[in-house]
Amino acid sequence: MDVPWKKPGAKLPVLEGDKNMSKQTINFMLNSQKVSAQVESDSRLVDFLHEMGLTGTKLGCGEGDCGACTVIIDGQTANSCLVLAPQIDGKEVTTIEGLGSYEQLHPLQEAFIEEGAVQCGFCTPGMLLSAKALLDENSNPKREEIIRSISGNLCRCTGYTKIANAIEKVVRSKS
Amino acid sequence: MSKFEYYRPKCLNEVFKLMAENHGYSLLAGGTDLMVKLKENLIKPTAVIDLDGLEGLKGINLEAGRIVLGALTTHTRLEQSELINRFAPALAKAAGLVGSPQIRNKGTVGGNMGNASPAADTVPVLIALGAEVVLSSKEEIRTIPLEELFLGPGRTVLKPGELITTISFEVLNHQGCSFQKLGKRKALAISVINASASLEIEPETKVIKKVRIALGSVAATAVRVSAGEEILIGNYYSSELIKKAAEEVSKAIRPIDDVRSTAIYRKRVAEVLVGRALEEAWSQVTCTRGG
Amino acid sequence: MQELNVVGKSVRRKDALDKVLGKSQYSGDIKLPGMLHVKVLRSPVAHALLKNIDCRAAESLPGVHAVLTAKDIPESNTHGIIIKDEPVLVMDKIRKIGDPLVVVAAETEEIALRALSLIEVEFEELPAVFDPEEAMKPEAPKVHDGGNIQSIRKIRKGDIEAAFAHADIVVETSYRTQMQEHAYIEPEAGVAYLDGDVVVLRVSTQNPHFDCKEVARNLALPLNKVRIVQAPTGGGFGGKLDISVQIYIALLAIRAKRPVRLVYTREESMLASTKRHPYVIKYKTAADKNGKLMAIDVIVIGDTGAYASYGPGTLTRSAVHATGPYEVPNVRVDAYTVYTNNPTAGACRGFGVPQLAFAHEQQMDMVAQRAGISPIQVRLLNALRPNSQTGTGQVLETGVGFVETIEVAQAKALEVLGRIC
Ligand SMILES: Cc1cc2nc3c(=O)[nH]c(=O)nc-3n(C[C@H](O)[C@H](O)[C@H](O)COP(=O)(O)OP(=O)(O)OC[C@H]3O[C@@H](n4cnc5c(N)ncnc54)[C@H](O)[C@@H]3O)c2cc1C
Ligand code: FES
Ligand code: FES
Repeated sequence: MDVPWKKPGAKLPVLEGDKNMSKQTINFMLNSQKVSAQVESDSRLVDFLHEMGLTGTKLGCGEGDCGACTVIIDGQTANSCLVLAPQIDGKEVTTIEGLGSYEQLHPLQEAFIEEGAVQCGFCTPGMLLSAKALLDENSNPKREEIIRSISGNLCRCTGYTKIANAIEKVVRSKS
Repeated sequence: MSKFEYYRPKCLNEVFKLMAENHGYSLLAGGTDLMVKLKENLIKPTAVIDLDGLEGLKGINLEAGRIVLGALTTHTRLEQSELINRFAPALAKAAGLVGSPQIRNKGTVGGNMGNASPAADTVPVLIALGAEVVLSSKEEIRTIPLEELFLGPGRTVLKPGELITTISFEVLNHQGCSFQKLGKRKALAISVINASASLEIEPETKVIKKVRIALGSVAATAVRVSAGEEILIGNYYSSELIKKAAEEVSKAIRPIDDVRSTAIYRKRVAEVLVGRALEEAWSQVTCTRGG
Repeated sequence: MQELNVVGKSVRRKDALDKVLGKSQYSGDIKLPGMLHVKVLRSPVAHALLKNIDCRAAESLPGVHAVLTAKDIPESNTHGIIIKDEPVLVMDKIRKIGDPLVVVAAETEEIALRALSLIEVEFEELPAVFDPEEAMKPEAPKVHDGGNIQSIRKIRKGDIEAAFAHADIVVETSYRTQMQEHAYIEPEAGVAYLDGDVVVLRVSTQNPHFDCKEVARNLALPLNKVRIVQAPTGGGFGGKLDISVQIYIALLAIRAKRPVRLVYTREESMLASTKRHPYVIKYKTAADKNGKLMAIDVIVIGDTGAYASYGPGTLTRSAVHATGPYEVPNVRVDAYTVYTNNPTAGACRGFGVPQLAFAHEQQMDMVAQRAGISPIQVRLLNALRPNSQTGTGQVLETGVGFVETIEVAQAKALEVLGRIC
């Protein structure tokens, strides 16, 4: 959301849009569990996930540019900052919380740790989900395909070499 | 973000009804443009009509010698489609150069048109392919050439109550098409300029019969540049001819300075991109059709 | 060598496990009971006298808990890493677009934003200056009362005039480098709450001890009543060394007696945070006919924007590094830190050195060209080696690896490219 600028004299609408819009009920699969929830029609998926206590999905730009908010919807990655919560009605959503657990890490998570592909970690959930979506579709991607699969995820600390190495490591260990 | 109602109708009739009932509606396809506009408060719709329920508008088909794209076909689908890769590889290439995987998974070809950005990547290719769009409303269904859809940045001829349902183009033998994009990075880059060309040749003589050259980000809408086309028609392909056509295109366009680039740079680089686009189009004619 | 447990080994990051699982609680992820949301009203103009702020309508909006201006800062109302020249909230003069004017704490972000839109701000715009060279002229609009040249760092070694008089090769060029945003992937964020009479902050920061002092000073609290905890921080690169949300949230947590949260949007982050200093560098090099350096004469002008931040430190580093990794017998450097109405520039990866490297490396290539030797030859000829003396007179006794680095790079180039350069 933008901070509205205020020039002297300029009147901004007061309490505009304060009509009490109806909430909607949505039913969807979240990390393999059925969920039924009430959402406001104008709430973004990323905010809705945070409200549900799933804070692993990060917000870096809110405009589709950084990929920190990447989730998987029906098998494909999406920027959850560009999706309205009601849009996921009837869909299947995977977030970082659905990838692995302390007891059982996903091989990609293991590889990210091993290869030093995590620094500040803010890009990491999105990177992991982009990588997972790739491997779910293609278990033996080439290096170029790996790089392309994370081209919608910015990393400002680690750079992309170690992240691509980590993904490649999982590919190699499988094949 | 302003407050609005959200609807996801299942058929076109419902869409028409909702458009009639909600004057301040916005159509939502993949949302990759719309959500950014909502966030920046550039639009304040009272209702958002999600077209995702219109399964019938998601396909790619070959019908009577024409490729027909449902408006809701995503860029990912375009890029991966066998039909598109076989009959219009330049379109697959353009779709594959849009944004990022996430953006391509959501963003649709109809949204790319509906948003009417002069930088839209699928538009120049579709213009070069001679595409037509079908606009549907409760009252009528009309078909117009794609070039005629756009009035200016963000503005189309779409009337209230009307939406884009399909986009189609003729599949021709002895034709090659291309796409060239210049962005500031390889991924997640809106085109500083993009270009597409199609060449159709006389199979016997190899004389260039028909040409379309289309550019994006050099004017308020994507444009066809006939000055370049005229030089090629009726002639044999040669690198000198290509060079001359590219020069003419560069002379004819009137780009502007904006956040992404300057007019002067665009003019110079247009020449390079059009040259490459023509070469690429030619290579498509000769390689894939054995001409 | 004896095998060690950690040194020489690849170790697992301690926090990597939480990070790959999405469990790390960055400050924006923290939810506290009764937490309020904070928004900042910022200036849309670059240079102006602030005449009046009317917050009455915002204050009476339901759901708003506090609306604070400069008058509500108990003490000081200044911060700054080297010089305390930046207000927490502007009292009388706006010096850049994005200068903070009012902070609001409300039940939701939406209400806080609506409250901002109800605030009436009166100001009188002043002519602004956006070019550091313009700003150095006596007639330029004054960003601060003391004048726009915040400081000058000088280095003098040997006899410049004589060296230039006897040089065979003189290369003189002006360079400009651009402003740069750090663009750490996590925008600034923090939460604050009261634990008894201690205000506790969990913030995205690179500088918790500095934050603690600045918060305590502005809030007139003893240091032991302010506790700063660095939350997992989504990148900083120097940009999170300065104060961002800290003083606002500490103040509002105390005033509203509720936990508060402030998370910048990407736009606000870009608007409010420091940048890499854009430089104007006037670089003159003297060398003999073989390409051996005789002298450099350099003027560096760093645009530090509206506030000093790390400017004087950055420009000092630039002055010291003006010679690059080369031995130069005669040196004159004047490095100016200059105020303008641009965004504030502060610490950014390399701290003034990359800008100078851009200039001195171009100079070296041009000297090589004029002397008819290769870029590598000119660098080896002038390289700092053990026992070389730097521009500031320091004798580098050990640990000078420049020549070895060039040799390794050369070998690698040969391996990869099949040629040296
Ligand atoms: C980070 C990022 C990067 C991007 N990179 C590129 C890029 O490289 N190249 C590029 O071309 N674009 C790019 N875009 C823009 C965008 O992704 C494309 O324009 C996309 O094709 C829009 O499709 P959509 O389905 O998401 O449209 P939406 O956002 O759903 O809609 C866009 C507009 O079209 C209207 N609309 C949608 N469907 C219809 C229809 N069937 N009939 C009538 N009107 C309709 C909507 O009402 C809206 O006004 C980028 C966007 C983002 C956020
Ligand atoms: S926050 Fe969604 S892409 Fe950056
Ligand atoms: S680890 Fe910090 S952005 Fe990738």
